[in-house]
Amino acid sequence: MKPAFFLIILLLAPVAAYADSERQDNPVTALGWVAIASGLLGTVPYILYNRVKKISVVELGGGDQITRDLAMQYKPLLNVHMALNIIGFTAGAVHGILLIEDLDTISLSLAIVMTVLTITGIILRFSSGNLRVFTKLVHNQVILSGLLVVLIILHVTSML
Amino acid sequence: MKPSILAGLVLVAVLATNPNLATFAQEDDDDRESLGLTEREREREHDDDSASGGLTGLVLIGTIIAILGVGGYAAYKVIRIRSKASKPKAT
Repeated sequence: MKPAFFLIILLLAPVAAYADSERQDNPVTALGWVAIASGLLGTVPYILYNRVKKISVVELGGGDQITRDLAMQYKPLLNVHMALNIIGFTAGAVHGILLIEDLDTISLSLAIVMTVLTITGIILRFSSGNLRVFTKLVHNQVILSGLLVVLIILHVTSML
Repeated sequence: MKPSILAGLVLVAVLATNPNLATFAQEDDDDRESLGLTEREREREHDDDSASGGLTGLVLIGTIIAILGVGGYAAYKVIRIRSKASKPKAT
């Protein structure tokens, strides 16, 4: 684990040479787009799947074959959701750290919301009891998800 | 071969062949000095003059209030669930 981490950090080091916010085509800016893309890919299908699963339970009942098949897909989809969002968070964090000189309040708000959602997601996956209920309530709040989308739009439009 | 030695060798190979290294700024580079920080510092001085703090400050305050509100709501719900669970059922 340590050598791999060491390698990844050092491979990112040359990217700092391109950390120039005036250029829109630099690799650091691209990391921001990677974060947005992986966040969308990891979240939208997962939300849609949960909606379809709920509708299936209500309309067809828990014993129906379609409902059971959908339930079987939950774990792989959850893993994809987690993996893509952790990749997105990491890309976003590196993007933010390398361009920290241009930090504004919108970017800071975005970083805070991203961190809260990622930490609660990780705790939710590995916790139980009251902590699990608490993190589930925070992680699933529409207010935070909506705030994240609004902040991403504001961040992108203010940087363009 | 140990994984750490292998990782070290791969690292040396990657860094030695990485074309990005050649793009590090030189002292005589007017546009970018020491990883571009100097240029950005100059730009920041210009940006600070034209920065509008009012509306964007509200965004940060709104975000913090939203997070604290959601956290408070979640804590309240957890406490309610716990108190309901600990109450003896009326027979």
